[in-house]
Amino acid sequence: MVSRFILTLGVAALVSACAGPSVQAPAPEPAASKEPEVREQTQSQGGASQSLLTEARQARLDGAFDKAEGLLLRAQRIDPRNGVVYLEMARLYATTGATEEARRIAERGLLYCTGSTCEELREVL
Amino acid sequence: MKTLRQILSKLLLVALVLVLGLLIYLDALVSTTFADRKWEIPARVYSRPLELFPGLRLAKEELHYELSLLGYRKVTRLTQPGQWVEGRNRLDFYGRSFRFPDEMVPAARLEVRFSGNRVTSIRSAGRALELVRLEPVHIGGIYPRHREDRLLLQLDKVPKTMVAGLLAMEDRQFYSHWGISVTGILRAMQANYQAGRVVQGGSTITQQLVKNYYLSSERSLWRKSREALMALLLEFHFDKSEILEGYINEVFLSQDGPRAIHGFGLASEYFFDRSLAELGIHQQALLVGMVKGPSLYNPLRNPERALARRNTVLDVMYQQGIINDVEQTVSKAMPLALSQRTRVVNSYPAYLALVRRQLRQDYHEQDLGSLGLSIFTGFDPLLQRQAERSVEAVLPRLPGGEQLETAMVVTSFDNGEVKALLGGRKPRYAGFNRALDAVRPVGSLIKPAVYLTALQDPAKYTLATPLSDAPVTVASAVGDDWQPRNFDRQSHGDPLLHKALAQSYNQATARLGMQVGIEEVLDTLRRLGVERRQPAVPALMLGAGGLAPVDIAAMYQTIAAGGFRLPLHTIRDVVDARGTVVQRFPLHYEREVSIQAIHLLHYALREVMEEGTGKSVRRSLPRDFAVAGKTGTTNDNRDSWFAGFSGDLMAVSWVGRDDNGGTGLTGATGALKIWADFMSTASRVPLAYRVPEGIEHYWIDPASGQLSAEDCEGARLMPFISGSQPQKRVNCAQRKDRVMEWFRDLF
Repeated sequence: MVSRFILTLGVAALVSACAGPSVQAPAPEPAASKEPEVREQTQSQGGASQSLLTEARQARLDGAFDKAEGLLLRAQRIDPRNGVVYLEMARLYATTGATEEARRIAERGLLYCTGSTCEELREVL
Repeated sequence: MKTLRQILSKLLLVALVLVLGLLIYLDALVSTTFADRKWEIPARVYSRPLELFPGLRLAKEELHYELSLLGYRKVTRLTQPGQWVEGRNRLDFYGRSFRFPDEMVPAARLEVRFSGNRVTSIRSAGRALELVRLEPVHIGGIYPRHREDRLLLQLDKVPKTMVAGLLAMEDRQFYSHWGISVTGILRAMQANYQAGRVVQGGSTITQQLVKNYYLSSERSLWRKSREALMALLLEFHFDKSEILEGYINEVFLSQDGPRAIHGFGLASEYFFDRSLAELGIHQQALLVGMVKGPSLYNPLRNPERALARRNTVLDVMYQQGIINDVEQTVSKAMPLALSQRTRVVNSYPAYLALVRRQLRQDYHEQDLGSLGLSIFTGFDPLLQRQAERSVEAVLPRLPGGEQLETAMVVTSFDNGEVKALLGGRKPRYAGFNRALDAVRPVGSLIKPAVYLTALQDPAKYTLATPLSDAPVTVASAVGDDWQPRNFDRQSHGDPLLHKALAQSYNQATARLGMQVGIEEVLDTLRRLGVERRQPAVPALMLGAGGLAPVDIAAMYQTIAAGGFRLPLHTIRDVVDARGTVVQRFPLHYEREVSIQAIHLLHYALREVMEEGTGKSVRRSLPRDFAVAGKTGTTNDNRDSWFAGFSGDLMAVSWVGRDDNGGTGLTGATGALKIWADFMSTASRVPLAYRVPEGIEHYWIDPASGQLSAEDCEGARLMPFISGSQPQKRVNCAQRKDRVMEWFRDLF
């Protein structure tokens, strides 16, 4: 995976250097697929936010909503491109009856989600 | 004679009534205000806490800088909080305890290891940690009108040697007098008589407290009389420990610019970067000695005099049996041991101005300066430093650099926090804050609002819609015709919509704006978060209305966040003096624009940076680091603007002159250079959103905007809102470039 990425970068540099004037530079759009590979693996601050998410989930289940919100806000600052953070926050707001906020958070989370998290976010909408 | 006696009796009676009235008044004043401990405690403003975790991109030097702002000292062995030890690829420090809004974090020894510019591990007591936060940097305060700052302390938190030293120097009969000391007054009178001038005061600590707390420093019999009366009343109502505690918190010790340092608690932090409990005897003696003359014995301005005074205090402490001879000798041999750190408090006046402005929306000015609130903000000292460095590096090299001014706003668009702010080229100068108040024409920075208005109507407009760039004339209501021209004075035929924005064609934009409607563009601006009123005139389409950098930041913040609007804010939490969170800024997004249309806009704004007016950014940023943005230039090159974003930061940069003179700069040759310099170091993540639902991609012929195919000459892949893609297809000329095809096969 990594070697393929490096190879891709190298080739991209080669192409940009070799492409003649009649060929458009690569379009800014990264990919045509509906769910392109999100860089979450390298961008997400996994371990750091995971412990906060676990704690926040437990706080929500215990009814400590203020505490859960504080933890999730902190997790979002550390790891803003992690769809799970938005999912947990949407669930928290849905639990407290703030359905409109929950819906918007879930909608925003869809810009960063991967795999089953996307499905779970759609369920909140 | 009898009449005279009667008159005198009456006068005496009146005088007695007056004195009685005065006594009642003073008694009420003393008993109520002092009992309530009505010190006005300024709000303390904090930066964000630095969060450390394995994998974080942070150079060791950056942690070093953060610790230096926090006043940590380099040592060879960690013995107490506030110290750090440097090692190869590691930095160990003894973190201080801190009460965050949500938890109390105890002091702890931490080992942080680095590999390159990344944190690889954090350990404490042999245990690996996933997440650690440092205490936030105290960046400023919001002071009452008289600008007094203090940290309240309880008497039992003050070292006993210091209390004893204070009484030995200022009031040895403190525990035996009733507020005034007759022997003290007589001794002072004798000393003053012998010297022929005032060399000694006879005031007790109680009198000094009364004078500082209630009265002015004028020297008059009337003031002295009130002082004596109030001192007696204070002693009548309160016990000695309450008076002493009041004095320790009230005493004036230094002036820090406009801020007055009151109380030993704050003075200890100010001079030594330590809590009072952590001070050595030599440092306690220095503070005690300063009471007599805070300016005369200021160790920063008069170190020799301060040292001599400190040693005098140490001698007295020894004579009075407070310290022993060893302590006296050792303490006298010590240097002043003042804090070495660069002053951080109130060093970021532009950012603090925005904090203050936002606080005023919810709090009275008087409460801010008096209730002892803690304001936790999103201010990032590392990003602020980089913004300042980028301005320092770029601005002087621009033509006419010495006359140029600048402003910058940096936000984290995922949560709407303002992370850094520059109000001018001199960041420590609290003058005109251009980031907030320089309302200037914004030129082409407004164009995304015009194009977004169009793209929200996919039945009429897509990225591939051809627009006419022919000269355009718009008649105005007052009879003047508006005839905008392209920057290069050329017309460019019928460019596709994405290209018209990327190349910033004025004629095409003006025509498009008139087609979609002025009111509709104004409505889009409002939906994007621009609150400042804009003129409903055709020239609006090219940014003739005035906006400040912070207004542009609000607009681009929403675009960067994928169409989700959050009010730009500085404050995370407000905590009251008891430690209770009284306000928290939640993550409440508003969305009033189409996510899909914003996605299309991102495409065009990325194209600006690849092929359009912002392509020079690639001199600073690697080609695979995706960013999006827009240049802006105003008439006669008066303003050079750039606003843009990566995957984690949005920044607006402005360059211009305060006298509104021409700069000779375009958005690309001025503001963009600062922006690119900043982003190349500060931004960690390239722009990479997941494509929203309802978007489909098609290969498009660049000339006609009609459907093409992957193998066709010049075809480019473009996003469309589902169902809005072109229906006609052009004949295809086969692409000749085999390398390109091979490249595409990789994906």
